[in-house]
Amino acid sequence: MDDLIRDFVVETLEALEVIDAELVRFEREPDAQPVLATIFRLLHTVKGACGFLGLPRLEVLAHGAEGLIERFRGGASASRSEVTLVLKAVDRIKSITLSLLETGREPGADDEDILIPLRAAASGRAAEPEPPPVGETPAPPPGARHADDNRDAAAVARQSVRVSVARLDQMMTVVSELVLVRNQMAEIARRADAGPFKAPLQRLSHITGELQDGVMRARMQHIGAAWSKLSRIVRDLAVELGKDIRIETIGADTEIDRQILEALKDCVVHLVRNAACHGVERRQERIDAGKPAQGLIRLTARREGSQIIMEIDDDGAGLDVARLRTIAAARGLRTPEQLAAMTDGEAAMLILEPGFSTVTELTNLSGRGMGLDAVRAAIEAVRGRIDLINRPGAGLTLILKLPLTLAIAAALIVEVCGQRFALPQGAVVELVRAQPGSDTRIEHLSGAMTLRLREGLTPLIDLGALLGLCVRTPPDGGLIAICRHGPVRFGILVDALHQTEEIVVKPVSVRLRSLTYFGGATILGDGSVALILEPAGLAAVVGRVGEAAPAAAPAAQDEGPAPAPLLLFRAGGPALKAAPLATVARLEEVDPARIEHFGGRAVLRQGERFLRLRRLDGQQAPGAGGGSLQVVVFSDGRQSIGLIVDEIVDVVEERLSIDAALADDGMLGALMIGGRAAEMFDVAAMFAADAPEYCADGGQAPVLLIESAPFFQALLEPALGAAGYRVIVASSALEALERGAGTALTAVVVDLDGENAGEELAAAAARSAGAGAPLIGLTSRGGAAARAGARAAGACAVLGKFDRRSLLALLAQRQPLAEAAA
Amino acid sequence: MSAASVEDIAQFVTLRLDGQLFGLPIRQVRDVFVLQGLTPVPLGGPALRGLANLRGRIVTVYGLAALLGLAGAGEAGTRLAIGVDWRDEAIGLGVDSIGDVLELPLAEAEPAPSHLATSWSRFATRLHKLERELMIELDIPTLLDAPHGVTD
Repeated sequence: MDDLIRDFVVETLEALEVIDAELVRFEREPDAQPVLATIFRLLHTVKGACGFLGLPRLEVLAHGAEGLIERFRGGASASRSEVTLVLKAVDRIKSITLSLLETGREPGADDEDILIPLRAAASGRAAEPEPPPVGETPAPPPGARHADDNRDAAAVARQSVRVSVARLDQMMTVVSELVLVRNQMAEIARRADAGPFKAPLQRLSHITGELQDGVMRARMQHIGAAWSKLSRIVRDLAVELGKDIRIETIGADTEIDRQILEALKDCVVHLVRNAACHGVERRQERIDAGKPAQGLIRLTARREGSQIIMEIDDDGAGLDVARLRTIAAARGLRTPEQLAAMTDGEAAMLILEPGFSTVTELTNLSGRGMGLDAVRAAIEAVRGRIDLINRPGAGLTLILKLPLTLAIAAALIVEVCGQRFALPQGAVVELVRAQPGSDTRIEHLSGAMTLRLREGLTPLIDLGALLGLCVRTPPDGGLIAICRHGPVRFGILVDALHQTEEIVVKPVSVRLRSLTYFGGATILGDGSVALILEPAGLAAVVGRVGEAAPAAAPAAQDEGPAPAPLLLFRAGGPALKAAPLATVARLEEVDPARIEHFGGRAVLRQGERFLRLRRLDGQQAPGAGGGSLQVVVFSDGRQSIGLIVDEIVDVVEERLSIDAALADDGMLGALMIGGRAAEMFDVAAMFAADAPEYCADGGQAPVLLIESAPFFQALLEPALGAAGYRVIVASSALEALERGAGTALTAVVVDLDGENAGEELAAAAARSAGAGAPLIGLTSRGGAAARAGARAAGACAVLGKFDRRSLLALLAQRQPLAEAAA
Repeated sequence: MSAASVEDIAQFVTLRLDGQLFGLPIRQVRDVFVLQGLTPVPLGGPALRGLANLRGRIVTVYGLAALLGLAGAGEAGTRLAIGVDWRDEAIGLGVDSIGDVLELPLAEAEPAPSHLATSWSRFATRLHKLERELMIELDIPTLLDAPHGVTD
């Protein structure tokens, strides 16, 4: 039988027993309002559950009884015969409930014999002054059957017992103690000869383990318990809304703490209801949009580290972000500036905020329940998190991240600087040993450690240093646990790896909640306490590696250029050379025999196309040395050039601070990378030198580029030129106002990161307005303030500085407009 | 003993820190235990002594002298701990030694003077006049509610 029905039967029988007793009490004390309130509430609950489970006969009976009780609550005096009517209804509910237990469905019969007098009494018409005499009542015969009912009810009630979570917690604590005592005894027996105690000790050990397992399991439930009623809900909703929706579940057997499951139940119902009501479109809309006629709501659950990840995914219309912004503005939840500065992803998160409801018409179905803000509050109350991924036109995914408090977890015990920590096994991908000179080795990059493993690079955390446990020189080898948290992969460097233990996760004191590296504490087999490492907190550390670690200046203008990934290589001399990774299409290894020469130019045939190859002065001629050649293929989005290099050194992330005084032919200047000097390779110059037609006048209105940094000028100007635009470069606000004044412009592109970004933006806005050309902002920091400022100045878009593709796409799109304006 | 006199007399666990006698109301004290096998909590702050296993319960142990911001607290408070319950958590207040349990009449106690400039004055509820000296009565929940003891 359905678990849901079984639960219902047990709960209903309990409720009925209370109602029986309370009704009798009510008869004795007709003025006791609390008694009536209890009866009413219980009947109402039964009625609600019946409606939910689709048990119409029970629902109608409960409703009838509720109606009469309601009249009593209104102050009407109750006659003995009226109380008997209610009792009869309760008996009938009981007998139907019991047959439900046997057959799983309501027996088909009608209850008008009870309902007619009930309704009459409820409406105040004493239609039948006395209850129908015994004998006139049709089957089931009340006498004999009734005794059976009671026995059966007792039998069902005995099958399950309600235990408070607090009592389970207490049992868990006692069992943990028992385990410790057992371990101590085992330790004693190992040292001294246990003699006759040996066999019983072994049994004690075994039984203790079973007990521990049993108590732990008692606290856990399948997450599917929160899902079971959903298919029914979705089915009914679909019928009512005239939609066709299928529900799919994956990972229903994922175990989750009972307490969290309880908190989750209503939230899931609400979210699924939302997906069905507002997410999945009507049949015809779906067909028109080229989707399958049947909508799909998919529920998945899985364990990731010390978290349960549950996703509710629909393939509906997704969120209309523009509409969300409008509503947020209308409700005063955000200022227009704040809304303009938000990404679409941030704007989508607005639906989780209090005071936000996109429902314009209250349907029968979605009107009740709670808002999404209440869902978020409920999830956060169990220390979970809710995220969403919006795919406009394609659906919405809600991601619930729930903790595993008090769950059992397998953990790897690791040791660093003499202290042991528990690392949740679920987060561990593999264990490796790094050694200098081997395939698996540690590399030090500008203060950050990286593990080179099977040709890939994995960021590495020196746990001892991170936690400030011991000071030592950064090691070049050691034991590493490779972990994964969400999309982040990282390694944890430790001194020793011990056994795997089943641990009981206990929360750390609220006074220590700010320590994000620890997800809890546990008692190990030997009785000592160990902290549980939190993969989420450690993954966040890795997210920060690569940013300039030492004393970053707080003020934005002091920061200098944002960090950008750079490819380091050597070519034509021992000096280290750097090029923005954004300009690199790929790295290739080339057999010199494949290089061909056309008109003095080295080319590489690649299918139908030729890749032009270049080398720097002082480099040996391609193909002369034998062995394969390393080629860095640069691309500006339209054409590619391969640069033959001597060695590819690394990829680093570095703040671009180029000393242009040291500029040289083909080099933009010098910069410091991890304490070493490197030359900034001038990619644009290479393209310009290789293809003289490159900067040809496209015959269109020029693009005004306002950019104070020579580096970005050099990067952007050729990129725009290559796409056929003539570019007017302005290095300051003044130049921006003067250069090419009065000419028509295709667009005004302005840097938002410069020292005088405010003035430059104002000048750009003026030129943009004067020429009727669109204003486009570029930023590499992605600061919300910069975005908001640009939007306020009339920018139609704010793009990332290295995002040339979007810039060119936007310009191409604006082309007809600009021509019309000119 | 009459009901009135029970209310008038309170018991205190006494201890001496930095030369000063302090008293903890015994109704706020759960037990006193010997600290063994403390597990340090990295980055947990200077007052935190570590986590201890007390019969299957994990107790968070702070140095009492350090929480109060007393001079020379250093590593003090790793030998004995006074167990208290705070917000459903087990907290241990680490001390090096413990004095007598005193029964004192509340009528003779005076409210802690508000002008005490010492670091711990916020957590002092009353002053008790003993024969030779004054004993300061501490309010443990208030002390633990302050996120970092006196340093915040």
